[in-house]
Amino acid sequence: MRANPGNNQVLVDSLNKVNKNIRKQVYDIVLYTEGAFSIKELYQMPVYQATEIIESFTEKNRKEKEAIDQASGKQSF
Amino acid sequence: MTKSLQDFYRHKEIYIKLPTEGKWYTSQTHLNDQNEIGIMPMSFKDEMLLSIPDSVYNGESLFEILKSIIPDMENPYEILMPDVDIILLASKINSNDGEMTVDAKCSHCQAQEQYAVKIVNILNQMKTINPIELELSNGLVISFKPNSLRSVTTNQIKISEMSTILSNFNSDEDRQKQHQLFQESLEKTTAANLVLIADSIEHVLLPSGEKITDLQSILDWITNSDGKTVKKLQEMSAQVNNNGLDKSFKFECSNEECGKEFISEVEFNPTFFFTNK
Repeated sequence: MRANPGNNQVLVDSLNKVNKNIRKQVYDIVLYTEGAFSIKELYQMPVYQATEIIESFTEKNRKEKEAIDQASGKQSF
Repeated sequence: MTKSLQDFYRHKEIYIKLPTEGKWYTSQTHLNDQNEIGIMPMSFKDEMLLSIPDSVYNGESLFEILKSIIPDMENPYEILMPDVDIILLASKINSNDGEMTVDAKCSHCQAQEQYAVKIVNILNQMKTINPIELELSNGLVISFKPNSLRSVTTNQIKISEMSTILSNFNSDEDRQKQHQLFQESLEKTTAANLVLIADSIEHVLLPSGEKITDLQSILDWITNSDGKTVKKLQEMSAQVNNNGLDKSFKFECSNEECGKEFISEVEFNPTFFFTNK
C-alpha cells in the first residue's frame, strides 16, 4: 500500500490497536462511572484527565473491595 | 436539561513562542502581549485521529488536531513547518509527566525498544527564525520563508508513491519498462523536491526592482537554473526551516545484555511515520 508495504502494514496494525484501546478506555469510563460522563464529553476531554478518572475509580473499587473483605473477615493485600 | 460539561474540560494550558513568531502567516494568528500563542492539550478525539492510518498518511489528521489545539490560529492549513513540531510537543507537555515515549533501535544489538524523552528539554532548544535573503551573481535577490506543512506533506506523499512503484518492480518484467519506470520516478521525485524549494521562496527581486511572487514562475526559474544555484537555494531553504530542535538523542540500550549508549533520530511529527519508513 505505501513506501514499504511490510513496514507500513506493521504501522497500520499498531495504529488500529491504539485506536481500539482508546475506544475501550472511553467505554470503560462510561460503564464504570455508571454514565457520569457521556461518550461525547469524554472525546472532548484531555487524555490525562481521562486517565485521572480511570485512576480514581480503580482506587474506589480497591477500597470498596477492601471494605467488603474486612466486613466478611478476609484480609486484603 | 443540564448544560453539557464539555466546554469546561479543556483550557489553553501552555503559552509558547513560535519559531516563526507568526511572521509569514496571511490569516490571523492571535498572539498575546509576549508574542506567545496558547496551546490546548490533545483530547481523546485528537488522539483517536492519530490512530486512523489513512488520515495520518495524507496529513488530514494533523490539520484536524491543529484546529483543535490552537484555537487562536485562524487557518491551520497555512501552518509553517518549524512551528508544527513545537505545537505538537507543547500540547503533550502536561501528559505522561511531561515525557514523550519514542521508539528507538539500538545500533549495537538492533533491539527496538521504547524510551522516554523530556519534552521541556526539547522545547528549550527552540530558536527564532528570521527572514533570510540570498543575492545571486546575476543580480537576483531571493527572500526565503519556511515551508508550509501542506506542501511538505504533499511532497512526502509523492516521494512515497514513487518509492512504492520502485519497490514493486518485478524482476521478470521487461527491462525496458523497468528503465522507463525508474526514469519517470526519478524525474517526479526531483520535481517534487524543486517544488519544495520554490515553496520556501517568498519572492524573487529582479535587478529592475520588480518582485516575483508567483509560485509557478519561481518553479520554472529553478527548474531551468544550474545545479550550483539549485544547491545554494536548497541550503538556504534548509536554513530557514531550522527551528533549532535537535532530533538526535542519546539513549542507553534497555536490553540488559547490551546496555550500550547509542544515538537515534526521533520524528516528532506523527504523519511522517509512514512516509519516512
